[in-house]
Amino acid sequence: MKIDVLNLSKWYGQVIGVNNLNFIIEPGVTGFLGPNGAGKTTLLRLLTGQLKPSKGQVAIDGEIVWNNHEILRKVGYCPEMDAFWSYLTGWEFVCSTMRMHGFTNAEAEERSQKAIGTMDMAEAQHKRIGGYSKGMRQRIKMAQAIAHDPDILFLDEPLNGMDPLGRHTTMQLIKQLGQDGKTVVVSSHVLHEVEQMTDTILLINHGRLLAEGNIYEIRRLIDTHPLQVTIRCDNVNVLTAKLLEFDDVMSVQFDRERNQLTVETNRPDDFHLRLPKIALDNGIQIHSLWSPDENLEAVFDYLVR
Amino acid sequence: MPIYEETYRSWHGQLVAVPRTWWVIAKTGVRLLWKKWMIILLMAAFGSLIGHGIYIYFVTRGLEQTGVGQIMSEFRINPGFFEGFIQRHWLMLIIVLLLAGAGIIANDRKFKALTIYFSKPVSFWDYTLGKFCVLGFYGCLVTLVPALLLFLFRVLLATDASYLKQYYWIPFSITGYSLLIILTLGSVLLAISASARGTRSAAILFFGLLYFPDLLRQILSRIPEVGLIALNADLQQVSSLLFELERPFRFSVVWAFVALLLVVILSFFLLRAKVKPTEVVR
Repeated sequence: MKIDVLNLSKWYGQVIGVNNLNFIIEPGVTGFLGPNGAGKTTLLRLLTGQLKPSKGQVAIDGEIVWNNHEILRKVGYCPEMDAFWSYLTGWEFVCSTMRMHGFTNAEAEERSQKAIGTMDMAEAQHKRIGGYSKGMRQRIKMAQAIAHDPDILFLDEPLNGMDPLGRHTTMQLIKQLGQDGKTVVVSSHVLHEVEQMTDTILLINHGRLLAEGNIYEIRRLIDTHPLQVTIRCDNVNVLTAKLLEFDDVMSVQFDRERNQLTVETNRPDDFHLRLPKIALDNGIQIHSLWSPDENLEAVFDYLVR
Repeated sequence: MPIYEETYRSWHGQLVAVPRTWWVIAKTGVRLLWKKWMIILLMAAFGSLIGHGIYIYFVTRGLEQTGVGQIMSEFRINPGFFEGFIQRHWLMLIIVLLLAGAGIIANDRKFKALTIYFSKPVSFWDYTLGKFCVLGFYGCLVTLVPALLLFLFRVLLATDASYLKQYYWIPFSITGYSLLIILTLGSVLLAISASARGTRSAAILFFGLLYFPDLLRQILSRIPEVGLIALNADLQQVSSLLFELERPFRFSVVWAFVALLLVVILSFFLLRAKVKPTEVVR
């Protein structure tokens, strides 16, 4: 299922929560990234129809979301907050939310049992939520979000407070859901976690959309910041000398002990085209090549800070 | 130790639209409030029912048959008796409603649970009706149910059908009056619970709203219209019409009914404004 966001804005009096956003979210995993207060949660609440847009609209498969309760049958939402219904047990919580989705008692119980098992909460399901750790509350929230097998999942900081094993399991689950053709939107400010789940991101800051698409494509578009490329090869001196002959190479730092050099180039595409030829012509054997700032953190840094 | 299937599996069934989401909310609410203190209160209400039942037995079998009851009207099991029975349960009803309802929305707001409700196919109407039904259920257990049982008991004690022929309309009056009380107090309590910062402040506000206007009515008793601001005075005035009794206050029954209607409408608007999935933080 596809999510269309058109000219979406939300004001809280004088404060702008979300400012004129336009984007489309296709099936698969999409990461909402942005620092605290960027407008991620507001955006998620607009997407789930919990907030009325001040301007513009959100549509899921062509259906407007605001005031459309039926569309929410296909949606799973895992909110950020976790201080809720402390007097219910995890089982009661998931089961009652399933009943709200329209399942019969027996079906709701079966779905809840499976979702709770998937989130590894089977042992603690009959304890009160008030006694859960933060990680356990996260898991039970995830369980209620996935139990009805929604086509679209909105997860607001889903990995907060989870232990490493829980994070790993949840990330695998999110990836799996994306691969199954579900539309999964994950909001986070923990960049490496989002990077492990998806390449497709929406970068938000001060309620505005800074960038959208593939992390690597976005990085290439940031031409004001030269791309760093680190190369490990058998002849650092020769390669350094050859690379410095070109205009786009702005600097080269080399580390003889590790046979490694880091090049800064403002035309990454040209550089990558040229490098194999230089290596062949000069008999240089390249062992590895990677870009230390072609990751999400660098992109985030360049765009937000 | 049970072994659970832990892998994620897609569900290929068809989700059936259930138009009664409010029922799920109501059922969960009723179940969560079914605690020891609530059971004690309800037992007290039924204790009072038994007391009144014994009274009816003695009056019917003793005084009325000997003719004393025919002479002394206060001993008759007439419409006023049933109206009085509900009136005597007023305080118990307030306590039950306060315990059940003060936190009914306040807690959802406190725990930010509204965002969970409204991310499901739950509308404002489902949510409000579900919560109201919780209050309605416990309210009826203190007023409507015992009053109807009492009437039934009186009918069963009668030697012939004359009592039923004469007062067949009393169950309707009992139902109407009980539902009117629950509708008015329930909607006020829901609105207060949605507006207050917490359970305690909601309880204080509700109590104040019930008793301060009544106090004012008593102080300014020379001006009969002041009585309109007191909910219990309005309810008593309307009940006198339903049970065909002498009017206890000097203001019009129609105005009393209008005042109650206004209170319900205002409460609804307040609820509409306050029951939202997200709170605006400025």
